[in-house]
Amino acid sequence: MADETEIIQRCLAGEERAHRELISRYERPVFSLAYRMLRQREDAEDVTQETFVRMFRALDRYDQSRPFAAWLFTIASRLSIDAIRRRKVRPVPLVRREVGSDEEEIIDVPDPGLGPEIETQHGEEERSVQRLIDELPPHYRIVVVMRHQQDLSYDEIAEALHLPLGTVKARIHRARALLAQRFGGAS
Amino acid sequence: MTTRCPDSGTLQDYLEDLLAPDVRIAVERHLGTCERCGEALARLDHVFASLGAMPLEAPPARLVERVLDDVLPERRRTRWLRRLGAGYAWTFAACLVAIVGGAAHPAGRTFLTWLAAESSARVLHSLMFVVHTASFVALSLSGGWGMVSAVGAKLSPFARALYVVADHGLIRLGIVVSAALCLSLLWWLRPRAGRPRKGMPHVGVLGI
Repeated sequence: MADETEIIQRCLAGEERAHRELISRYERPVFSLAYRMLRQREDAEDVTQETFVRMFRALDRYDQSRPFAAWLFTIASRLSIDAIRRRKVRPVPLVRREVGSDEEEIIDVPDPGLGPEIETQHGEEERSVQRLIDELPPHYRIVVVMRHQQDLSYDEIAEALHLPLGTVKARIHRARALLAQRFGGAS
Repeated sequence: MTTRCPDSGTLQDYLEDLLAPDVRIAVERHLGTCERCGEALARLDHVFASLGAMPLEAPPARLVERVLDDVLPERRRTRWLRRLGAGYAWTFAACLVAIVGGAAHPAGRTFLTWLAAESSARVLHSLMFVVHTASFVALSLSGGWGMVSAVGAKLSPFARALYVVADHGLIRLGIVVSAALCLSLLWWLRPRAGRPRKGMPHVGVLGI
C-alpha cells in the first residue's frame, strides 16, 4: 500500500489515480461517521462528498505534521453537525438539562419497538442499543462513533474535534454511562 | 464492600485497560466484593460490545465519480471529448459496414453507384462555382460593372448548381448545425485564464 504522504503529493500534482486512492482509503469511515450522525443515506452521501471536495481543495494547506485522518474527520464531523443543525426535525434527545444547572437528566423515551420478551433476543438487543446510540445528543454521539466505530484514540478525537483531551474523555464516559443506564432500564 | 465504589469513568477505563496498575488492582479487589459495581461493570461491558458492533457502511459507488468531477473539472471535459470521439468512431464504423454490406447486394450496389455519381456531380458543381466566383470577383475588379453583368449572366447556371446542392432542408440544417458545433467546440477548448493547466490527454481521431 502506498504511503499516505506520497499519495497526497501525487494528488497535489493533479493525478487522478491518487485522488481515487485517497478516496477509497477513507470513503467508508467518512460515510459511516456521517451516516451514524445523520441516519439518512442521502444526507450522509452529500456530507461525504462535501468532505472530500473540501479536503482536496484545502490539501495544499494541510499541515503534514498532523495525522491526516484526524484532519479529514475534523471536516467530516463539522459538516455532519452542521447538517444536523440545518434539519428541522431533530432526533429525540436522551438527556435534558435544567436551566442554570450542569446536571443532565435522563429522559425516559418510550420505545415503540417490540415487547420485552422478544427484546431479550440477541439481534433485537443489538438493534435496541443501536437505537439508543442514535438518540444520543450529537456532541456525545460523535465522540462515541469516533472512538468505537472509527477506532480513533482519545488524542486523535481531541485533535479532530479541536477539544481538550479531558472534555473528550468526559463526553465519552458520560455517553457510555447514559447508554448503560438506559440499557439497564430497558432490560 | 471494603473500599469506596469506583465511578463509571473508572470502570470504563478499567474495561479499556487504561488504569495505572495499582488502581487496576484496587478496582479488581473492589469488584470481587461489591455486587452493585459488578452489575454496573457488566452493563458497561455490554455497551462496549454493542458499540464495537457498529458496522462500517459502504457508500454508493457513484460517490467517487461525483467527487472527482467536482475537484478535477478537466476530467469531465476529457470524458466528453472521449464520448465525442467514440461517437464519431461508431458512426464511421456503421457507415463502413453499411457500404460494405450494400456493395455485397445488387440493389445496394446500384444505390451506391447512384449515390457516388450524385455526390461527385454535386461536389464538382460546388468546386466549379467556387472557381467561377473567384473569376467573377477578379473580372469585376478589373473590368468594371459592365463586365460584371456579362460574366454574371454567364455564371448563373453555376449559381443555380450551387442552389441545387443546398436546396434541401436537411442539408442546410446540417451545415448550420456543423458550424454551430465547431464554434462551440472552439469556444469550449479556449485557454482559461486564472486556472493552472495540467495538460489535456491526447484524444485520437477515432477517440481511441
